[in-house]
Amino acid sequence: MNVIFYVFASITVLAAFFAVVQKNPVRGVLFLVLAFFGSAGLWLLARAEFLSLILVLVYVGAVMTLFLFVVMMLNIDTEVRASSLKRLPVLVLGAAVFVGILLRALPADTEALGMAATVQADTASMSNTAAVGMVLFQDDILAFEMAAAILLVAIIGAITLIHRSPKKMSKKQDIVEQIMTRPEGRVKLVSMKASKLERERA
Amino acid sequence: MISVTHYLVLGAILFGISLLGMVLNRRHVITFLICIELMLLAVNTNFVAFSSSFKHHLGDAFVFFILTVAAAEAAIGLAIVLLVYRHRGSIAVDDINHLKG
Amino acid sequence: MSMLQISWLSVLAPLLGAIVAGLGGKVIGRRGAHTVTIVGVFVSFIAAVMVASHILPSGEALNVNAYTWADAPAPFDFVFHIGVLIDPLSTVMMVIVSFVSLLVHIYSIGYMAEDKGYQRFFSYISLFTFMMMMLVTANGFLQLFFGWEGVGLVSYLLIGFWFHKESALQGSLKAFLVNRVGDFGFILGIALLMIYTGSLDYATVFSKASSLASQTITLWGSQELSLMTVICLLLFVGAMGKSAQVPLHVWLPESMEGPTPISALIHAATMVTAGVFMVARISPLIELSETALSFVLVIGATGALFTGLLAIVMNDIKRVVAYSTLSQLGYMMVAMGASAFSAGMFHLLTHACFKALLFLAAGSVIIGMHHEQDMRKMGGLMKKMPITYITFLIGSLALCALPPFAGFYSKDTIIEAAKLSNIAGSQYAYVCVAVGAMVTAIYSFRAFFMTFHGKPRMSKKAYDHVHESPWVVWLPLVLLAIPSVMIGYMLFEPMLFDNPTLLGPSLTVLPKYDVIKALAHEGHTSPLHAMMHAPHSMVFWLTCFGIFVAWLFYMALPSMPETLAKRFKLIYRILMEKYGFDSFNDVVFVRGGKALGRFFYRFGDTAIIDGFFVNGTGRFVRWFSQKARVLQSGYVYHYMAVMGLGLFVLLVWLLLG
Repeated sequence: MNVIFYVFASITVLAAFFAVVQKNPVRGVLFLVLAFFGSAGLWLLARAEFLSLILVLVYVGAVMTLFLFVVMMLNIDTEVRASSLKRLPVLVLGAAVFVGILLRALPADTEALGMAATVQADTASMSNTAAVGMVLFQDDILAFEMAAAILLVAIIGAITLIHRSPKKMSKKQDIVEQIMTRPEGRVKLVSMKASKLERERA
Repeated sequence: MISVTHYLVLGAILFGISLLGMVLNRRHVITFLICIELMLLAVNTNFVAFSSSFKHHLGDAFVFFILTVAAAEAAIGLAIVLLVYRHRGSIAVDDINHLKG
Repeated sequence: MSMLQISWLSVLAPLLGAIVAGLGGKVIGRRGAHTVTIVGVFVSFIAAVMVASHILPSGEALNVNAYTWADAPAPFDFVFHIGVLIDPLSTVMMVIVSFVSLLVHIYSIGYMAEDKGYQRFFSYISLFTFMMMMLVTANGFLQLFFGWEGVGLVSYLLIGFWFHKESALQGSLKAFLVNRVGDFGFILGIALLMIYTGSLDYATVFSKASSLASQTITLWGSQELSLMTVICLLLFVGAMGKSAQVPLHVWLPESMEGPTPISALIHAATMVTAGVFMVARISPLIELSETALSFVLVIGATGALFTGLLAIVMNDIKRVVAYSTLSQLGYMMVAMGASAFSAGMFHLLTHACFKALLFLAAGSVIIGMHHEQDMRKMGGLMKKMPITYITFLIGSLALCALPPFAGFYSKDTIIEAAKLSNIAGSQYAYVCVAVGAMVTAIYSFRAFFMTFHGKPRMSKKAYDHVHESPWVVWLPLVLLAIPSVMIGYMLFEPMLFDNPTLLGPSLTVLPKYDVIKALAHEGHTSPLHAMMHAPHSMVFWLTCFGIFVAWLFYMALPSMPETLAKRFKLIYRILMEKYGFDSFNDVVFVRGGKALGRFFYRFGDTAIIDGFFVNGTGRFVRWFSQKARVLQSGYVYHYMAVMGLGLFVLLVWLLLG
């Protein structure tokens, strides 16, 4: 049990590290995918089956795929200048201190808490999915609806941002407009004063 | 035995790595988005650990919502990156400093 | 018409004249202006005489409030009235003021004939008459102060009458400012009275006089001072300003920049005597403070002698008469300090006559000399201007206090009173006034001889042009010469030695200070007696000696004065610098004030307010924004770093706290 944890944990950490230091964005995203896989394994160990599979299916499958599409669409110059490593030691130290403080913030009796060996009593008969669904649809239904609204907004927002009006891009015929032409749109009568009439009479 | 602490340590380490990556990034904007996803992953791991530890599925529900929001935010973020690329022609971080005061 | 209505008529008639003349402009013209004002003052004079004929024999007092000016509710509880107090003191003043004012009005028709501001002049002198009337008929300190300030204002307007002249503007401003200093003390005294007695009406204040005398006041530190002394000293400061006592006398010589008629009216007969009148009015209060009486005595005596000395070296004929006025005002204050209030008022009355006469005669000389005022350019005018000559001589004899002229009876009484008084400083005062009598004789006859006798020191053409002034000018001279001769003789007994004296009911004299009674014990209470006694007194011989000295130096040995001036350069210099009063004021107050202003301008205004607050704020904002702008680099990773730092700090704080 421990070994599996450490294996998956190290996979996740290393993948995360490489994802961050990559020059090539595609590689970065792919390492991120690996980090998610490792993470999914960890969550399985924690008896959150539903979530780990959702992570893989939805997050990796959809969101990371989207990432990859966009990254590949952009013409990224991978020969960018290297970042300056002048401040690296200080910042690493800072990050280490940060992490240390985070850990220091843990309550004292956390050690005593063990991971669950058995599931909760009242949901023993259901699968994990059903158990999560119970909580989701009974206790947090409002948040559920709001999450749906957020997704809707995100869809509309993303499309609105990217959408370009077609007239700028393409030159194509609009058949409907051609059929519905009226004479006024084509011919215009202008009245002018006659000139040079006296000369012509003579 | 694997206790909650292990998961929490893992989450902290992931968070620290992503923060470091944010600050040290001089290359392109995609790295920022990757770091954000990593941070969210760290937080989610924390929630899952606590949910398992306290034997209550509220943590799971919360992770669910975080995932939803993260997906939405990734979509919009990528849309913005595309727009920036369309208008500026490059997504090197050093070139996107137009909000300079 | 009741006495009350007649007295209000006397007060208000000149005001009406002033308003009509002042605002009438082209509608009434020059003749209309002088007519309406002379009518107004004439009515005032007749009314004053009527009131006097009723009040003086009976000695009664009429104290009536006309209306309530202000009524303050609790917690102030002050009520201010406007009304009149008609008693012998105010009646005498009313008669003097209206009489001299009337004569000055008539005189001005001739003197100001060629002036462009003719109507304005008449309006001003009528206004002045009104203010002075309000002052003397006041029945409370508030109205007194109103008249006080009013005469100060009109004096300023009149001294600066020829406002195109720089010197006139400066003189008027100086007069007003120095007066203001006196008024400052005056109003402090009035405030103290209000606080400690709760009212400003004479009746209330005087009835509480004895309770005031027993109280003390702590001004600074732990020194307790007698309340009555403080009040009287402060009120006297006001009198010092108005009546030009040392050291607030510096404005009077410069006030000669104004036309001569106003010098006669304001600075001889009326305004400057307001201080003397006020001291007489507060006799119930000042009698209870020996310190104040001493102070008045010493200040008056100092002024009497030292300003008289200055008159000896002046070359402008009006300045000589001005310094003479200063000296005589000192005499009046000596009388007040010695508690001989009746004598002081008597001298005020006689002085009003002969000093106005001297000023108007000097004005006549000036007209005759076509506005030349320097005596060194005069001489030998005796034959050319006979009426002026005789009236000037009468005035000078009255001033020198030679019997039987008016000045003798009043001045001599003052000198005797100073001798008999036994309060501190009285012997010093006696010496001063006695020597001052000789000095008076010297300067007045010096002026007389230089102007009218001797060989003419002007060009032949100018000498031919000199002629006697028109009747509107010499008629007032004659009308003033008559009382200068007779009024002393006539009023000697009633004023001083009758029982009760003419002004007695208005004045309070404590028995221990009553020098006039002591004088009465010595005998010579009838004017004839006094005149006979004169050759026995040292002062008489001092005066004759003074006349002799004047004759000697200016007639017999004309070059002596110059020689003396060269021999005694230092003394001459001190006298010419007027003891340095003007220089002191200039250096300390004027330049000091300017320097202070300049300092505050440079340091306070420019450096602190402009530089630090106004410009400094701008500079600070610019500096700060330059520094703060570094944070907005535009690079996202910078922003992330800052966010991380903030998160870090928050964590630490939560952890520790």
